[in-house]
Amino acid sequence: MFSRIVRIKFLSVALLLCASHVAFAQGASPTKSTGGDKPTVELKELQLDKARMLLSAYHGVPTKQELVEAFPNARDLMMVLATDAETFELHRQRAVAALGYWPDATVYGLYAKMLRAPETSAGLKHQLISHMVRVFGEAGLEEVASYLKHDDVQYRLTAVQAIGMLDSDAAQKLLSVAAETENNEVVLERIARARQQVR
Amino acid sequence: MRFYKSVVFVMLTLLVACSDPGPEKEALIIFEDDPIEDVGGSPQDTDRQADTLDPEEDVGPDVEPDVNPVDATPSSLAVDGEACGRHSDCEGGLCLFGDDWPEGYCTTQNCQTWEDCASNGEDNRCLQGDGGVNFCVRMCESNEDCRPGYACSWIGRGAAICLKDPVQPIEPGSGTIELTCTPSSNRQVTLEYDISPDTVAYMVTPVSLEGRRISPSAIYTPSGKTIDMRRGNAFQSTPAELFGSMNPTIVPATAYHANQLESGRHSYVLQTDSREVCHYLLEEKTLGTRLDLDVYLVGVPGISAATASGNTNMQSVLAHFEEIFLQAGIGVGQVRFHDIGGADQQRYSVIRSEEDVMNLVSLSTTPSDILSMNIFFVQQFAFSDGGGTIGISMGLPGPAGLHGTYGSGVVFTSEYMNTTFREWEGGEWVSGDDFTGIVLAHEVGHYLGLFHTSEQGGYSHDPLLDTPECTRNNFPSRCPDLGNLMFPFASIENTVVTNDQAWVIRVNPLTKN
Repeated sequence: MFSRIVRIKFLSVALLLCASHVAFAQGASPTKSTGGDKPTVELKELQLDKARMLLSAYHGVPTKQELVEAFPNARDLMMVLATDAETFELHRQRAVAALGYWPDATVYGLYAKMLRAPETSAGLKHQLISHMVRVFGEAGLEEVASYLKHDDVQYRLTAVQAIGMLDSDAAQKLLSVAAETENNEVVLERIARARQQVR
Repeated sequence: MRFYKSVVFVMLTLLVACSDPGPEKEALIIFEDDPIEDVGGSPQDTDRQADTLDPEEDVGPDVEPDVNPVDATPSSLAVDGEACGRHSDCEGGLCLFGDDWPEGYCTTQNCQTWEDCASNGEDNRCLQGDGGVNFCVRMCESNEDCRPGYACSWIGRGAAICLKDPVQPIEPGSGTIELTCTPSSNRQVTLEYDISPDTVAYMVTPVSLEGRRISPSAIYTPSGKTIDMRRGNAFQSTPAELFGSMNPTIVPATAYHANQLESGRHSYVLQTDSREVCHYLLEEKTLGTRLDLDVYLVGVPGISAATASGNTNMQSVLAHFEEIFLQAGIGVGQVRFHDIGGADQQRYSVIRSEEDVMNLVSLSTTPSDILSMNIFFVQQFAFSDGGGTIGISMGLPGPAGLHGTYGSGVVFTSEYMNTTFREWEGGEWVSGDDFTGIVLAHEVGHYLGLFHTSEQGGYSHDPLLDTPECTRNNFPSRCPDLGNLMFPFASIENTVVTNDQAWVIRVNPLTKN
């Protein structure tokens, strides 16, 4: 598919970007910045602008390698963009996705908080449902299970798709329970598909 | 029929087969006991013979009570997942027939694990679901792992298996496209077509109706020139590299290839294992000035086909799209709005996989004037693999005039419509409708034949001469092509169309007078 090809090409694009700015990025870690360090703050703003550009490709999210080669403080930059409600939605969604490269308790907590927050956009929530399961596996099921019962059929479909991708008995149990109360034919079709397995 | 229906269908079929005392059941009983161990060799000893089978030889249920698979030579039988014409062709003892199993599908029923499957080194495993009968299937990681006519489709636990390709490349005779088909010989096909003296450009599209991969080699012109699609014009084989079974080819491809346009008899040579390759030809007598749109709305909040022409946001998107394309001298012509409703709207409002994209564009219908661009507004993309995208073109270029196929349009997000935002810290407020118009223009640009101006960090570029090329050291923030519509990053500022890009757009048959 075209998007797949472009994603591959984009990797190379970003790699080059990263290589050309490693020297620039070094020394600009937020851990070294102080409240009165104006040049450092400006450097970080420049880094954020470059990060926004990296996150704006038509056809994909940059890889972890691309990000860390561009910015030694890549995780911090992604966290800034992911948690700033003023960040352009496209950049924010990509930053949230990129944080999945560092699957620690902080990222889990951020994902869970965003999934629960009513002000989180529908676009971001759909992606978070997938990220939560893809990144954290069974540990993420607790946070997405409620979406199997959501009033909006689109959330239910996204949850079925995400949970169905997990090779887990607990995931299959969730789908089995959901099938018992689900009335929507499309969701039932997708559940049946997700419950098929090979041995 | 969607693939999951296929699986449910075959499970039901097997259930019926097992309970129905008809000949099919008899066959199943006969072949149920297929003690592979008793044959005297492992499944790995079995030679694959599927390629030599003639599906016309004997299709339909075949009891063959005199044939005992235990006595058969293992090397003569096809393993699970391979083609078959009758049950006795299969090492597993069962050949699945019907529309859902193109050219037959060998399997082993009532399996418990992969060890029960006839495999011969292939990755075959036992498919189990709710109800129905377990049977063996071929595993895959991508479509490349599957036989022609089959696609790699995900099931539970992140696994994927080869099942019937849910979308067909083209339905012969269903539209107004006139197809000419040529049989292959020694895995090569030479298509022939005539170009009129008054033609200014044309698109010739070879397509394997069997869904098999084609590999374009060259076009030979009447004067003896070669349009080499493996060297100088290699970029023109991109559609086949991306989409496999079809390769829309525009001549001349760019303004600098104008000398490749000739009138008279042409030969188009390509390699394929398809039994035949068909093609159709679209000639342009004048360069285009307008583009008709068939707009499909897939659960876009607050907008339907009935209200779209009066919807401010929709009109803003289309106006900005037109503003960009007017740089190429192309205005928006007729616009027809369609609703994707019912179950399909539920399935595809949020695009969760590339399979969703192919199925969605296959829902396009043939308009009275076939030269129209199909564009699909969806709520958003949420790929389950975490890959983010905001738009996808199903062609580079796409097959002009073909509707209802997996290559029939572009799909992009509508989630930024009716919003405003700042792209950069402290930047100006941006209209989400304008941004959406740019995404639409970028994807339509791909569909009409435009590549990204720079790819792979400056390693490769489009084939045009007047688009600035970004070098490795400048990528991406100091790129001279930053600002171009086809720059690979989306921004409200990336809208420029150069003269050479305009030429590519105008020679595409989808743009017309």
